[in-house]
Amino acid sequence: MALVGADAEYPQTALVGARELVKRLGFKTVYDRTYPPSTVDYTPIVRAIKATNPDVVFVASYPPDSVGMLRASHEVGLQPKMMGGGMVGLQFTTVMASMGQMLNGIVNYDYWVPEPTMMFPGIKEFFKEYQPRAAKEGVDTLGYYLPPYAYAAMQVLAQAVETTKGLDQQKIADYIRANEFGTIVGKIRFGKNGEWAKGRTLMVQYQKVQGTDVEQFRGPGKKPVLYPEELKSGNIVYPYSAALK
Amino acid sequence: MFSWDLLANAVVAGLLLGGFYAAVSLGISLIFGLLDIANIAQPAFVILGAYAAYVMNSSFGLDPILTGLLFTPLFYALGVVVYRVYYGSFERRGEESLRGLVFFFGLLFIIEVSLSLKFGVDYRLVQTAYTSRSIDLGGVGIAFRYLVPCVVGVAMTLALYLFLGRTFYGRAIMAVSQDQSALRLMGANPVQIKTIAFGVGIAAASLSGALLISIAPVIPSTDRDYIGRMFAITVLGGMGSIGGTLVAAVILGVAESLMSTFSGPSWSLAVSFGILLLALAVRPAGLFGR
Repeated sequence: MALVGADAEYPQTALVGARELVKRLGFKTVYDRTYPPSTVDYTPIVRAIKATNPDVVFVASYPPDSVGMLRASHEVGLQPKMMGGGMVGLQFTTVMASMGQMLNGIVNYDYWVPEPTMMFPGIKEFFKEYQPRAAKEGVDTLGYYLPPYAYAAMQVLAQAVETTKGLDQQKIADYIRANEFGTIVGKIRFGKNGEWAKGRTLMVQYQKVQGTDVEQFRGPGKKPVLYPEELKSGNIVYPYSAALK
Repeated sequence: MFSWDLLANAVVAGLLLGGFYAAVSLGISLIFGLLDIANIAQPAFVILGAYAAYVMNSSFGLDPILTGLLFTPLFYALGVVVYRVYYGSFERRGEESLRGLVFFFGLLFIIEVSLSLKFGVDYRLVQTAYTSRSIDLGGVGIAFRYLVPCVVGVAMTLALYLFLGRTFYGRAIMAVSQDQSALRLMGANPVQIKTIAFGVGIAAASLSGALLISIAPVIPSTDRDYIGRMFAITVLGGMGSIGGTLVAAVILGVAESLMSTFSGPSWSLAVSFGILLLALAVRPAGLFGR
């Protein structure tokens, strides 16, 4: 395993989790280093990773470094058996359109993708409203990454306010803790620690991306869901090099 | 983990990175190093250049470097206006030291916020056919994404060096940095000369911004990542030394690259600035400072 990430809050937290999992699963770590977020050239880092010959490269990065690491891995020819993990930014429409087929094979986290298993009630209507407005406002034109969850959060709050018939924060909070909510991202129930009762961060793999046309990402097939099992919409192409072909 | 192959690659990557650092630092080297104007808004002008390249590429498919070149007259004019405002409001009254610094701080934030309002905070980048390629020379990989900016950076350094050394206005700029009174006695107007120099410094930001967005995605606040590096390179190279800027940029680039490869990328910036402190302790005027 090679673990690499930025010297920043999210990547550091993700790396702590990754190290725990590596230990629990009994994998051998051959590279475990972090880099400053203001790094300009990622090729020396990727070359150093390549020299350790890892099977899996876990990257915890923010958008500029996600792009930098991905570009550098192609320039250096880094081809482990699996790569990705916690790369923020690869979900953004502008980044997907710019990176194009360089994305192929990357296994990464995501929140919502246009796969058949993710078509919950109301989601199509949401995008019908969102996408034309997003194009006008100059923000993420597809809006698959975070906007559905922003809307779902408001749906949870709206249902709690309507059912408790008031704005008493304690009552609203108690209601949210105790009940399940139907939203455009599916049913949501919170656990005792305030997280989802059952974690539902998706793991997807970029597959068959060709060129840089944004439209190819609008429908299913480019980012099939690998995990969790109940939302699975495709199989992993393994190893990484096979997905690059 | 040491190998000669890794070392060679790290040194070459550092040299290429240094060429790019030189490109983004030339403007500040001219404005801060020669004119003694603490223009901390310079990185914001570089980002402005990056967005100009992005707009022309996404709207008309224009090559970013070509855009950088085409926009230099516009950036020069912008630089002239900024200097005139700065001169009229602060320098003429002898209030440039602190208030001038605040002026450029304000300018930096105005540019950042204007870009955020216009383009949002989504990351923008430009992908070109030639910057996606890389070649292998005897085991040493050369990414065109860094080779092209390096070549342009060296060409910009050479052009500025020749301009300052071989042309009337260039020599006048060198003179104004040394003795404004003497220049006035020669019949040249120091304010006019400084206006030209400031304009040239901002014009350089057009091209270096285009190089930047070819290398990495940018958002309006990306400028903050470069402030430290740009001033460090200028000071390490020696105030006002254009050749020194290139040498200092290469030193920092190679140091960063070696640290990223062999030790820990986390230390790369600390080591670069450590080199700066060490060099200044031994030679306070910088490597090529007078």
